[in-house]
Amino acid sequence: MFSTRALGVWRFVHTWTSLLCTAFLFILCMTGLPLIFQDELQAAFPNGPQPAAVSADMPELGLDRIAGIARAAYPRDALRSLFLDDDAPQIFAILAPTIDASNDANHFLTIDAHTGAVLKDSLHPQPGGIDGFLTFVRTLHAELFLALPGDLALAVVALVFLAALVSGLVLYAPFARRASFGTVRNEGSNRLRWLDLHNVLGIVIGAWLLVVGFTGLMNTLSTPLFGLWEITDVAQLLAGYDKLPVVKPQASIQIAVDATLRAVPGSVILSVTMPTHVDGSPLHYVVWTKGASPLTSRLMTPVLVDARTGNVARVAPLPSYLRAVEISRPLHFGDYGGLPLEILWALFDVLALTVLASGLYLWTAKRFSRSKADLVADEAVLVSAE
Amino acid sequence: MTMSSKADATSVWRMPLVLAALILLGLFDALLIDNAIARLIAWVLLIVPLGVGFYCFVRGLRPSLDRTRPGL
Repeated sequence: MFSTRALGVWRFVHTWTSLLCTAFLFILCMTGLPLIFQDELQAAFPNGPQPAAVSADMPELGLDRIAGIARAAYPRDALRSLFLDDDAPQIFAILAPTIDASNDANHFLTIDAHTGAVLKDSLHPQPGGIDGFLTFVRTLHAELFLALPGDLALAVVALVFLAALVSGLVLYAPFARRASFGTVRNEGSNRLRWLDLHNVLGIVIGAWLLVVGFTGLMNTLSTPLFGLWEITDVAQLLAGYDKLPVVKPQASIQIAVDATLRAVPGSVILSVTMPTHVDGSPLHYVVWTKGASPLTSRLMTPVLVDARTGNVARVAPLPSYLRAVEISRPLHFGDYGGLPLEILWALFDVLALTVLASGLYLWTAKRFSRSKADLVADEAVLVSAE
Repeated sequence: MTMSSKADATSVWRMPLVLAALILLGLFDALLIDNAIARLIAWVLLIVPLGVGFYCFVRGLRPSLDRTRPGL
């Protein structure tokens, strides 16, 4: 139950929070569309050679051989880490001039996990493909090309968007109670019809908007939260090691991986970082694992494996605030239910764009282009709702 | 001046709450249960609110302006 004054306040909040974030939401919805289908787009427009088609029973070479291939390709550089691709039998080998060089000096090779062929070399990029476009879109979507300030700006946008959603939900009932659900009034101006469409579409996809908005807010906070984790928990974990020299591994990478899989059963290996002072430990391999189910597919757990003995030194689950961030990711990307769910996600996105566009139209029509007759007719209908 | 009665509020929110429940069930069903049947159920649950949304949208855009389009 609202007084007229309370309703006015909610309308003011809804109008201005919506307007504040509309331009950003257009960018996010538009750039989100291709990102929903990024795996399919990369498969349709490959950049350079792809992993060889092999029989299902052909074993992969193993991480030590892949590491050897990467080192042989750049014998003067140090191998920093190996990343296993989820979607294709290929491994990304990250190299740098020295093991403790800045991450800005990194370059990478993409290596076929079965044949050992070098498929891509970031120092010799191949033209074509869609990777550049997707990187552009992803960077725009995730951080507006502003790195951490972009993350934080989008966090503010997400908060404003959630305020717009809540105020929109509050306003729905007073304007919808006079007619049955889904009614679109055509007896007034065009603006009235779009007001009803805005209300109906907004309420139909309201739950999806809330979920994607909230998980988007969580995502924007992931960089600062990971930074917080690095200067607190990670610093504490590596205290006492950071002044030691980087060891030459005695245990193979495969031994480290096998030990990790025994320590974290049911997990999937995501990457292996060699002993280093940069984003790692000078005495350990850092083996990053993740869960195998849709829920845990983005839930990472770092494992420290002694590079001299191959024994697990520490399993270091992420703190609860980072686990919450990781678990929220699938609900933002919609990539956990196959291609049909991706298509449904895109359709929700299109409806969200329609709600945005109709909201913007309603505001501009009211402010700039409505005739006096429209004004009188609309106010009559709106007052009847009150 | 009050804007709605208790009875009004109940009927106004019935359909939106049903659609919201379908969406949330669909989203979490496929996320929490990792098998093909759960995925299929999720797709069906999510298609319903999408269908309602597009149906209302298309019907609202029909060119005839002579009368109000009734609700569902």
